[in-house]
Amino acid sequence: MLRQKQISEINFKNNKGKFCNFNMGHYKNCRENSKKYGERLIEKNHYGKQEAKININKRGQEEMVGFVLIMVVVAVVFLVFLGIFVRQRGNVENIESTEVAQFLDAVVDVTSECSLNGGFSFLTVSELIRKCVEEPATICNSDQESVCSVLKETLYNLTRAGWNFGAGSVTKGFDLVIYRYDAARNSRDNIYLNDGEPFQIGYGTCGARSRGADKLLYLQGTIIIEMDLCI
Amino acid sequence: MLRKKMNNCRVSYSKKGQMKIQQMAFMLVAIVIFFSMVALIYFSISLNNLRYKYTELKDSEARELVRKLSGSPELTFSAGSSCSRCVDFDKAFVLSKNYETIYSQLVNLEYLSIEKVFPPSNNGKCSDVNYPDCSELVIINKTDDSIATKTAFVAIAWRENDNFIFGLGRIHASAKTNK
Repeated sequence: MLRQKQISEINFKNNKGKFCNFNMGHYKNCRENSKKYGERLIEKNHYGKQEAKININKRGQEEMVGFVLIMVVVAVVFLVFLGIFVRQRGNVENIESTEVAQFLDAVVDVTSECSLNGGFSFLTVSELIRKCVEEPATICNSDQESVCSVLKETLYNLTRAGWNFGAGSVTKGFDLVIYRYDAARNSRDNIYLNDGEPFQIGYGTCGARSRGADKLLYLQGTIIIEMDLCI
Repeated sequence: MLRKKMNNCRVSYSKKGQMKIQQMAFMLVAIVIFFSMVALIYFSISLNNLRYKYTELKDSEARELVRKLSGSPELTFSAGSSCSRCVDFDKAFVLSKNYETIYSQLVNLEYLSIEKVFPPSNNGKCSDVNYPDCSELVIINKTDDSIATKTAFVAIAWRENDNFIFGLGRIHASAKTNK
């Protein structure tokens, strides 16, 4: 404000009482009139105009810088929020899959290679699970393996036959667990094989994202088959 | 003289006010544009998720519909009580021979087949020669073009040496398109 006033005064003095201000568009007249009064005054007048121009530009620049700073701060805040949002979504994502549910529904009815009556009839997967949970030491007399081992092998072969796993495929691998669920205590107890290992089958590498489903079997308590396809 | 000087000042300040209003207007426009863009990005992400969920649901629905086919009396396993949800592969084989006279009138499908997944077999399409040691049983095929099908896992059952064998299969189906 003070600066503007000073410039007006300079213009005023230069024109010896005549109205002359560059803001009014009379600067050209002012300059022409000033020429009549000598070199010194023209220089002074010209200097005043330059000062005014620089003054206005500087103020505009400052405001523009302020505006840009505000935009940058808001953009950074927005990006941080977006990053948090995307990271939260990307951490672990388990999608309920109808395909896996249908697979588990079908799998429990499939006949295995385990026979307990000398090959007259063969156990289905659900019967194998029952045997594995209730009498894990039972041996299949068809191939002299324990029921749990045959169950593990059968489920592995079924899953490998059901899906293509590999680099070129959508599904990269799978995880299959069978455990006992106690609804009263809301706890899960692993089912152990003869070698003390929990019943778990897997293939390939699993990342954060998977599609899966559960299958409930009511044997001695609730048995849950949980399967996840890694995508 | 003084009045002119005052006028000069007043005009100068008015210009400055205009400038300020203009700046504010530009600022407001910029803020509105910025937040519009933020909203646009947010809604595009939300819409994309919604579209993905919609596709998933449609896919699940289609799979369930295909699965329902296995429960139809023409295909369901009824020879024993051990598997009520299984597809009778023997029935399906008989049906595949007569589908033009019987089944095509009942089911509005362009393509229907049952693939034997487990135990695996490399004998190709089922025929009188290789049945039941075959991998694919085509029941309905009304098109020579390759078509997109919906698939569902099912348990399949067939008789072998007086015993029923239960395997894992897939039903592939494609609905008739109205041209």
